[in-house]
Parts: sequence; structure tokens; C-alpha cells
Amino acid sequence: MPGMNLSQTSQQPKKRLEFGQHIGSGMLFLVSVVAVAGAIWGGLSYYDHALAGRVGETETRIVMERQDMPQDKIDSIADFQFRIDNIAAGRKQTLDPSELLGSLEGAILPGIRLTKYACDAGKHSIEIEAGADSFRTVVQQMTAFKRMSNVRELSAPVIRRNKEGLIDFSLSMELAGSPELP
Amino acid sequence: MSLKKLSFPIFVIVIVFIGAFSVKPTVDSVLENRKNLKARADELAAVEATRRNLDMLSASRDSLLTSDEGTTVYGYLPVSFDQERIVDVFNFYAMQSGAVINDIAFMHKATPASVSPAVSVDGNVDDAALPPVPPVPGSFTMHASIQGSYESLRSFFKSVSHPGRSYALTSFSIEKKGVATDANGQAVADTGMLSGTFSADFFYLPEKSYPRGYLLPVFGTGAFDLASVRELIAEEKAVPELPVPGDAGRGNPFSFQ
Repeated sequence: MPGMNLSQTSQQPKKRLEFGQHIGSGMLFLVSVVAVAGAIWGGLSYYDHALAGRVGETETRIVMERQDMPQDKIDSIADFQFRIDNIAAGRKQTLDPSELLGSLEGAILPGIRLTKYACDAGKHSIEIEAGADSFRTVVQQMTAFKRMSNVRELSAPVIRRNKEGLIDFSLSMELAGSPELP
Repeated sequence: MSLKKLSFPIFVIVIVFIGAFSVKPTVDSVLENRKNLKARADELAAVEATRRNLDMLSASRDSLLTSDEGTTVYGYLPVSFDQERIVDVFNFYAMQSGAVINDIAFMHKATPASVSPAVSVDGNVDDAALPPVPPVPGSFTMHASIQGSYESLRSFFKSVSHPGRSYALTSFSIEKKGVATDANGQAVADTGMLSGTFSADFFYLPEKSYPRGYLLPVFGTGAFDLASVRELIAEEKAVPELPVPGDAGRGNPFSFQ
């Protein structure tokens, strides 16, 4: 028949071929990428699982090793070490009476006789009771103590003349730090 | 829209989805597990080293106990009050100095409070992974009074500065007590006798169990560091220097001479 399109039947396979070619190149690449990604994920998952297993095994070994250690030996060694650490930490802050009395001996003026000397590390204080031959000597003695570097406060609660004509007085010294002087 | 145009974005989305929700978490998990494994391997190595060192340290301690170092360690910070040794030592010092101890009283202090759990560097309380904190020694206070001349009291107080034990002298005093009288109540010549008092805190450390003691550094090193103990021994054995009289002042501030 004139005007009839006979080429229709022959064009159909060509279209399929184009579609197949298109699927074949694009899809194949993309599917391959997905497959590779999946394989990587699978491999990683397997490796991760294996690692987790090894971590668990190691933890179990650690626990067993520790359980096997004799606690009495650990205690005695730790106790010994703590005592050594205590020595290494240094001596306790303590008074040195020898040094304090040495300083006192050097600081007491002629004409003064002590009747009491008391030092308290906790209060950072030194209390002195003494007798003097005159008020002037008392003042000189107070001045001598005040000149000492770590005497922060000096007070004289009592100064009075006794029956023998001597001057009885007491001094209270507040020290800046540890009582090293006088 | 044709399949040709849609296929690429769809697959890209699929791949991104797989990467983001499957591969990435797995990679993170692998990295975390590798880190954990390394940490556990190091810990295991440390535990094995501790086990090897344990016997060595125990033997070392046993041999030290019969030596000067061991005696000093347990003498400096005794297991118990050990008050009989204090009385003995102080009485010995008094006799050597020519002074007389009149009385001694011991006062027990409250047992130290239990220590708080160890805190890790990041501030979290993780007492399972940290070594035990050092124990707080117990303590008691001794009050004593002593009698003698100024020189004997001074000598005594010089001696007690080195009692070979962890202690702190907290206060002391020297006092001239009144005026001595004879049988008729008449004042007698000044004998120069003085009264002294002193207070000191003594420390001790009872033995106890340390459940995570194996985490202490000494178990890693495998040896005790006794340098400080030897220093203490040398200090205790050192001959004290003779006092040098000063230019000013007097040898006995409690006398006019």
C-alpha cells in the first residue's frame, strides 16, 4: 500500500539496543560501585567483629591475670611503698626548740631574767614572762624583739613593779610564719 | 524524565546512603576497637610486668625488713601507736640530758576520715582504673612535763628534734616555778631548777588492704626507691654540731648571770 510506513518493524530492535546500551554502560558502573561499597562494608564489619572479639579476649586475660595475683603480697608491698612515700614527703612542720632557745639566748638583754618562755606552733605565738631591773630595760627588750623580722605583733599585757623593786612584765608575740625566732 | 537522567542521581544517593549509614559507622567502630585493643594490649603488658615484679618486690621487701632501711621505714611510721617506744626514747633523752620527766599523757585523736574516691584527669570518678589513694596516717598527742636546769632542758629539747619517728612538736614551754622554800618556809637560794612542758603529735599507719594496689607505680618499676629512707637514716645518725655562743645575750636567759 502506498504511504504505508514499513520501517516501523525494523526500528523497534534499534530502540531496544539503544536502551540496552545505555543500561549496560551506566548501570554496570553504578552497580559495580554499589557492590564495591557493599564489599568494603562487609569486610569492615567482619574486621570490626574480629577486633571486638580480640578486645574481649584481652580483657578476660587481664581479669584472670589480676585474679591470680596474691592480694596479701600486693597489700604488703603497697603498705611498704606508702610508708616510704610518707618519708619522702618530708618531715612534718615542727618546732625546733634548740634553734628557738638559741635565738632567745642571743636576744635577751642584760638586766632581764625570764621566768617563763612558751611557744605554740599552732597559734604562731610566743609568750614570755620576765623580770627586769628597770622600765627602761623592758622598753629596750621590747624594741629588740620588735626588730626581729618575723615578729608581726608584740604586746605587753602586764608591766608592774614587784615587792623587791624589780619590774615584772609579760610579752606576747604573734609571729608571721612558723615560730623560728626569737 | 527519562531513566537515563534519573539513574545516576539515584545511584549516587544509594551510595551516599550506604556510605553514611553503614560504612562510616563501621569505620568508626573499627577505629574505636583498634584503639581499645591497643589500650588493652598495653594494660595486659603492664599486668604481666606487674606479675613478674610482684615476687621480686615481695622478696625485696622481706630482705629489707631485716636491714636498717626496713627498720627505719616501720619505725618512722609504725603500724600501731607504739607508745612504749616513745616513753622509752624520751626517758632516755631526759636521762642523757640530766633532766627528769615528771609525767606523760597520751590523748588519742579521732580516726582520720576515709578518703574520697580517686578522680581521673577529666574529672570523672573512676576508682576502678586508678591506684588507691595514699592512706591518711592516724595520730595521737603526747603532753609531757619535765624538770631540770636550763642547760639540761635545752639539751633535752635538742635531742627530741630527732626521735626517728614521724611526729610534730606543736608547743613547748620553760618556766621558773615560784620560789623554793626550806622546812621553815624561808626562801632558799635559787637552785636554777626549771619546769618544762611540751606537746607533740605522733603518727602511725595501721596495715590495711589495697584492692587495686597493683596499679601503684612501684609494681611497674619493680624496685623500691629508698633514697629518702637513706637520707633519713643519715640525718638521724648525723652528729649534731656544737652550739656556738653568740656575741650578745646569755647562755641562760632564766638567770641574771
